[in-house]
Amino acid sequence: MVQGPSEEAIRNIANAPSLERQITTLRQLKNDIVGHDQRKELVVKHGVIKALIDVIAATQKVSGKRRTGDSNGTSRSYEQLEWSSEDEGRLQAIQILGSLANGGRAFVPPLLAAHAHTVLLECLAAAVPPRIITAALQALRSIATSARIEGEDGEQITLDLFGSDPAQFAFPNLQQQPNTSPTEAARQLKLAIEIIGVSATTEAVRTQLTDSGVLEHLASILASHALASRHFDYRGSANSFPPPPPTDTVPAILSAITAIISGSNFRVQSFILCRPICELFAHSKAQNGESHPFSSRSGAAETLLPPLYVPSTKSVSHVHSSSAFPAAKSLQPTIGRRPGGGVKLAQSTVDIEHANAVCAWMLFMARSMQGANRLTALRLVALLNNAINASTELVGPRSENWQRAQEREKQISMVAIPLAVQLTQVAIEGPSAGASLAEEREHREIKESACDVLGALCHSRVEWQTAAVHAGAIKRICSLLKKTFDNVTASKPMWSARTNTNDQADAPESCKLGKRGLPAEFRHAMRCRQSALHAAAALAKQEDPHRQGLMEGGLTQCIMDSMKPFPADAFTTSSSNKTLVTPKDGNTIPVLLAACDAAMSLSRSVSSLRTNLVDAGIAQPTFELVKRHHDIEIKMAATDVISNLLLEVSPMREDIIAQGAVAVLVRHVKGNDVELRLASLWALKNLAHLSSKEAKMQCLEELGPGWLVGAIQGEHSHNPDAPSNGGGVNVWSSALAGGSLSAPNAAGEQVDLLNPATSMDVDEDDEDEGDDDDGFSQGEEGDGDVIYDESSGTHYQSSQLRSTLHQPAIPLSSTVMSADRQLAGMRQMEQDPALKAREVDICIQEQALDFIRNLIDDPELIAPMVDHVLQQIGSEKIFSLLTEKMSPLAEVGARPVFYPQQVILAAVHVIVHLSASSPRHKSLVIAQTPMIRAWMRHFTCEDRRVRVMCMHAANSLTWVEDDEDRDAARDRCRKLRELGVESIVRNMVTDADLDVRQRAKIVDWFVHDSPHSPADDWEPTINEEGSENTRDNEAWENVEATIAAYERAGYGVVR
Amino acid sequence: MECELSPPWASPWALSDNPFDNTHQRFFAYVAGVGRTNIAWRERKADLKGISSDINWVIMDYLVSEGYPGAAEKFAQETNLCRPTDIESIRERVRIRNAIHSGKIEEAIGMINEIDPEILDLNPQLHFQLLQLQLIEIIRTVLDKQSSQQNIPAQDFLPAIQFATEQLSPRAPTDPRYLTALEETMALMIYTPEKMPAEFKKLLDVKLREKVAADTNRAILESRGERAEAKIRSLVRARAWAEVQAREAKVDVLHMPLSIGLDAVDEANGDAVMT
Repeated sequence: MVQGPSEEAIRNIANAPSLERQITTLRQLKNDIVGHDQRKELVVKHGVIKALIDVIAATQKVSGKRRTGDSNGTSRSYEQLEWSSEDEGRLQAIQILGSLANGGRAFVPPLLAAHAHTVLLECLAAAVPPRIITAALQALRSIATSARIEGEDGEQITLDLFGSDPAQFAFPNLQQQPNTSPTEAARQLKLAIEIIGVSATTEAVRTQLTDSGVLEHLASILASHALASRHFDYRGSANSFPPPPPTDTVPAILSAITAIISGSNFRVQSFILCRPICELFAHSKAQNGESHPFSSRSGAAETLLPPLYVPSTKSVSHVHSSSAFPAAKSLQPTIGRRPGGGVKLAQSTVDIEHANAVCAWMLFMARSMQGANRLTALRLVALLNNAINASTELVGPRSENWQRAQEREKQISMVAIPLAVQLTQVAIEGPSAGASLAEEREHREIKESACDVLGALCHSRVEWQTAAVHAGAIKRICSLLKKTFDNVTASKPMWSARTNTNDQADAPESCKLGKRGLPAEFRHAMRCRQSALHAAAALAKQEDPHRQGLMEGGLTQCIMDSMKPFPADAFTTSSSNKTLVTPKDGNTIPVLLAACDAAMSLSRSVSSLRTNLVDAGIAQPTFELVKRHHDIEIKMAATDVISNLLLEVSPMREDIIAQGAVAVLVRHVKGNDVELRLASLWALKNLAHLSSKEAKMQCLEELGPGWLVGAIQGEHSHNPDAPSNGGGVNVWSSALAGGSLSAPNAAGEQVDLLNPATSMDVDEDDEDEGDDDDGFSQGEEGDGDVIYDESSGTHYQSSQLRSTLHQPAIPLSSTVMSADRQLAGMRQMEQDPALKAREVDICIQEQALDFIRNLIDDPELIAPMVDHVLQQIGSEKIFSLLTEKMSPLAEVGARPVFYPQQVILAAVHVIVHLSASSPRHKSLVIAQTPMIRAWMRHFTCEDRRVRVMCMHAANSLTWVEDDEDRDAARDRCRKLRELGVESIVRNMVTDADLDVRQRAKIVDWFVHDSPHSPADDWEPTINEEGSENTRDNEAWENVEATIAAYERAGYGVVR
Repeated sequence: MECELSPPWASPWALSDNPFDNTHQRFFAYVAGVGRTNIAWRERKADLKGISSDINWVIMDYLVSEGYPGAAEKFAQETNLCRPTDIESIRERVRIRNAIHSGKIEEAIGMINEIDPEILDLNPQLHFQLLQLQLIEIIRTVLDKQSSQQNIPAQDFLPAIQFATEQLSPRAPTDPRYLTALEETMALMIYTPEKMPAEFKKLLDVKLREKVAADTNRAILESRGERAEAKIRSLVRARAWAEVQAREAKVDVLHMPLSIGLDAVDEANGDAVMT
C-alpha cells in the first residue's frame, strides 16, 4: 500500500480556492513524497509535473510584474522585499520538482517532456529571491545528476541544459549577486559549478561552454583561489579576478573544468592559454625574475613541489619505442638531421614553459588535497599533461624545450603516478568501519575512478607506465578488476502491498516514467570494471613485461568475461527474475569498449598472442562483437583487436578466417561508416599479409578490384561537383586553399592518427631562418600549410596549420594574441568536419595501397600474385594510380605540392614489391616512364623510410635474377640511367642515414661495377674508398638484409 | 580578527580546514606539554593567555554547531567575537531538535523538508531512523494510554500498523538493517511495558530521540557544507589519543581529567549533552 497523495490532491494544486490552500497542499505533497520513490512514481503518473510547472509559470508572471514594477532603478535587497505567498508556492513547487528528480533516472524523461528544465532556467533569469534561485539550481542539479545514471546499455540521457547561451545561465550565478547573503551565494556558486561539471557530457555542450566564456570564468575563479591561498607571489593587480571561492568549492571547480576540457586538445590548450591563467603566471615571476613559478628554477617552486633531478645528458633516448622491439627503432622516422637541411627544430604549438607550469600547479593542488578530491585534481593533471605531451612529442633532444618537458615528465612519474597508485590502494582497502554516509560515497567514487585516472596519467608514454608498475599498480589493478566479478546482491525493490499500476499507454509524456537503468550496485561494478580495464590497457600498451605481469594477475580471463554483452532480455524479464542477473553475466557498452582496448594492448605482443590469448580463446568473443553487436563503436574497437589477431604471427588467424572473417570485414568496409571502414580495411590488410594464395585471392575478389581502385583514388574524387583535373587531385587543391591536412606528410611530420591535433609544426631552426627566409615566409603567409624541404627543393603539404607562436620572450598581450591564432588553428583541426573526412580518406588510401602491397608480399607467391593483381585491377590502372599518388597535387607558385607522406610511402612500398617480382615484372615497372619520373622526385624525401624504400626498389630493379636475365638487367640499368635515377642514387651515397647510404652503394655497384653492368662507356666516379667500404661492410649488410626482410615482411603493421 | 580576514563566504567563526592550522599547532604544543615537569607550568600558562582567543573561538564553534543560539549571542558579546550571522539557521536546527526531543517527529520531518528536501531524499538511513522513531512514538502513546490495563485491545494499534505498512515496510527489503529495525519496533506491540525484554525497551528510551536528533543536526550541517561536528570534539579526541600514546610510551602524564561531558570516554554513550 503506497498511500499518499491522491489524484484529488494533485487536482487541488491547480484549482486551489486560495493561495494559502495551494501552499498547504503543496507542502503536504512534498512531505509525502520526499524519500519515498514509490509515491513519487504514483504522483508522476497522476500528472503532478504538469501541475507544478503551471504553478511555477503562473507565479513567475505575477511576481515578475510586481518586481519590475517597483524596482525602478533603485536596487533593493531581496531581503527587504517581503516574502510573498506566490514566492512560497513557487518555492514549494520547485522543491517538489527537485525531489522528483532525485528519484533517479526514470524521472528524467517525464521532467524533460514537461520542459521542467526550461522553466527552472527561466526562474534563474528572472528577478527572484535568492532562496528560489538556490532551490531552482538544486532541482537542476538533481535532474542533471539523475540523467547521468547509465541505462542498461550504459548510455546516459543527454541533456541540453544550457540552450543556446550557457553564459546566460551561468553568469548570474557564477558572479556573486550583491544582495544575496554570503552563505547563500556560496551555495549557489557551488551548485552552478556542480551543474556544469555534471552536465558537460557531450561534445556540443563542452564546445558551447568553452565558447561562451564559462571555461574562462571558471579558470578565473580558480586563479582567484590560488591567489587567496598564496600559491603565487602575485605582483599584478588582483582586481581583475572575482572574489575567491570557498575552499570546499575548489574540487567542484576542478571537476567542472575537467568535464569541459576533456576530449579535445583544443579545449585543454584554451584552458592553459586563457586570459586569467596567463595573467596569473605572467605577473607571478619569482624574485630572480627569470621564470614562472612552478618551474624548478624559480625559488618559490622548491617549497611547493619536491625538486627533482633532471639529468642534462643527451644519452636518454627520446624516441619512445618498446625495448622489446629494438629493431623497431630503425623503422622510426627521424626528424631533421640531414646534412644539407640543418637541424630542424620543432616549434611547439604552445608556450611549453607556461604549459608545464600550469601542469605543475595542478599537481601541487592534487598534493594538497585528499581522497576523491585529489583524484579530481589528478584527472585534470592527466588531461593537461597528455595534451602538452602530444604537442611536444617531436621536440628534438637538444632543444631547451625538451629539457623542460623532461622536468614535467619526471614530475608525472615521480609525483603524480605514485599518488594515483596509492589511491588505488585506498580503493582496495575499503572504508573504515563505521564510516559515515559521505565517507562511503567518497570511497565508492575513489573505487570507480582511481584506476581510470591512473590509466589516463600513464597511457601516453612508456616511462610513465613503468613508473606505475614500479609503484605496484599491476597487483592492485588486477585485484580491483577481479573484485568487480564478485557476486553482489542487488538491493531488492521496495515492497508494496498493492501491485503496481501499469502505465497508461495514452498518457502524456510528462506522466510516463522512463527506464530505471541498472541497479546501483551493478552500476558501481560496471564503472569499477571499466576503469580497471582502462588502466590495464594503458599499462600493457608498450612493454612486454607489463603485459606478462598483468596476465599473470589473471587479466586475460577478466577480459574474456568483460567481452560478453548483457543478454538482450536480462532486464526486461519480470522483477522476480531480476536478482538472478549478476555482474558476471554481462557488461555495458563502455565496459565492452574498455575490454576491447585492453585486449588490443595485450595482442600487440607476439608472445601473448601465441600463449595466453590463444589459450583463453579471445578470438571467439571478439569476432562475435564484430559480427553481431549493434553498436558501431564496439564494432570498431573489436575490429581493431581482430586486426592484431589476424596477423601472420597469430595462431588464431585460421580460426577467424574459417568463421567467415573476410565476408564480415568486407561488408563493413563497404558500409557507410568511414571509421569502421578504415578499421576493417586495416584488418583485411593484415589478413592478406603472408597468407595463403587462396585467402589473398578471396580477399581481393570479395572486396572487388573496382572498389579498391576507388578507395585508392580517394573518396572525394568521385564528387561530380568538383572540377576534375585528373584523379583525386582536386580535393587537395581545395585543401590547399582552405585548410590543411592532418596526416603525416612527406616533409617528415608525424601525426598520431588518434590525436590529430597533436602534431607539431616543423620549423626552421633559428640560425637557418636567415638563409631561406624568402621561400619560407612566403609559404607561411601565402598558404599556411606548405612546407619547404630545402634539400630537395620541394614543398609538401603540411599536415597541420602552421604555428606562428615564437619564443615567449614577448609581452603578455602578444602572447595572448598569438595564442588566439594558435587556438583558432587547433580548433579548425578538431572541429572542421571536412578536414576530418579528408584525414580519414587519406588513411583509407594508405591502407588500400598497403592492402595491394600485402597481396604481393609473399616471396614464394610473388610472381603469380602480381600477375593476378595486374590482371584483376588492370596493369595500366595500377601504374596510373601509383603515378598519380606520387605526382604533385598542385603547383603553388612554382612549387609542387605532394600528397601526404604516408600515401607516398605506401605507394613506394608497392613499387618495392612489384620490382622484387620476376624479371618480366621488373621490365614492366621500368617501362612506366611517367611513373618513374614521378617517383624519382621522392628519392630525396625528408623521411628516411621513403628514401630507404626507394633504394630497395632501385636495388631490386637492377638485380640479376639468373643468366637469362642478364641482358634484361642491363637494359633496366640503362633505362634507369637514361631517366636520371642513377645520378640521384650516386648522390645518395653520402646520405645522412646509414641504411640509405649502404643501399645506394649497392645499387651503384650493380649499375657500374658488376659484371653485367651496362657500363662499357662508364668512367668510375666513385672513389676507391667508397667501393671498398661496400665490400667491407658485407657482414653488416647481412644484418641489414635481415632488417629489410623484416620490413618487407610487414613488421610495423602491428597497430 | 579572524572574521575580517576570512572570505565573505565562509562562516566567519569556522576554523580553517587545514588540519595543521594554527590552533591545532598550539593545541598540540599544549598537549605535548602535559607530560613535562612542573617548571613548564608557568610557560604553559603564558601560552594559555596567548591562545585564549582561539579557545573562545572553539567554544563559539561548539555553540553554533550544537545549536545554542542564545548562548552564542551572549558569548559573542562577552568575548568581542563576531556575532554569528546565521542565527536564524541555528534557531531552525534548535526547533527541529526540540521537536524530535519532544517526540513530534512528523513536525520535525516537515521542518527538515522546509530547510532542504534533499537532506532526507539523499539520506535514506536518516529518513528511516526518523520514521522508525515516529512509529515508536505512535506505539508509545498507545502504551502510555493503556498502561493501567493489562491487555491492550488490538485495534488500538491500527494506526501504528497502518503507518508501518505505508511508510516503513516498503523500505524494509532494501536493506537488512531496516528489516531488523522494523521487526524490533513492531515487537513493541507484543509485550506489555513491564514484561518487555531490555533490547526492545531501549527503543522506548529517550536516549534514542537524542541520538536521532544529533544525527539530524549533523545531516543538516553537512547539507550546508559546514562541518558536521564541533571542532572541539576532534580536539578532545586528539587529547585522549595523545594521553594514551603518552601512557604507552611510559611518559609521566599529568592527569588532567576533562569531564565536561565531552570526554572521549563519553563518546560511547552517544553525544554528550551540555546543559
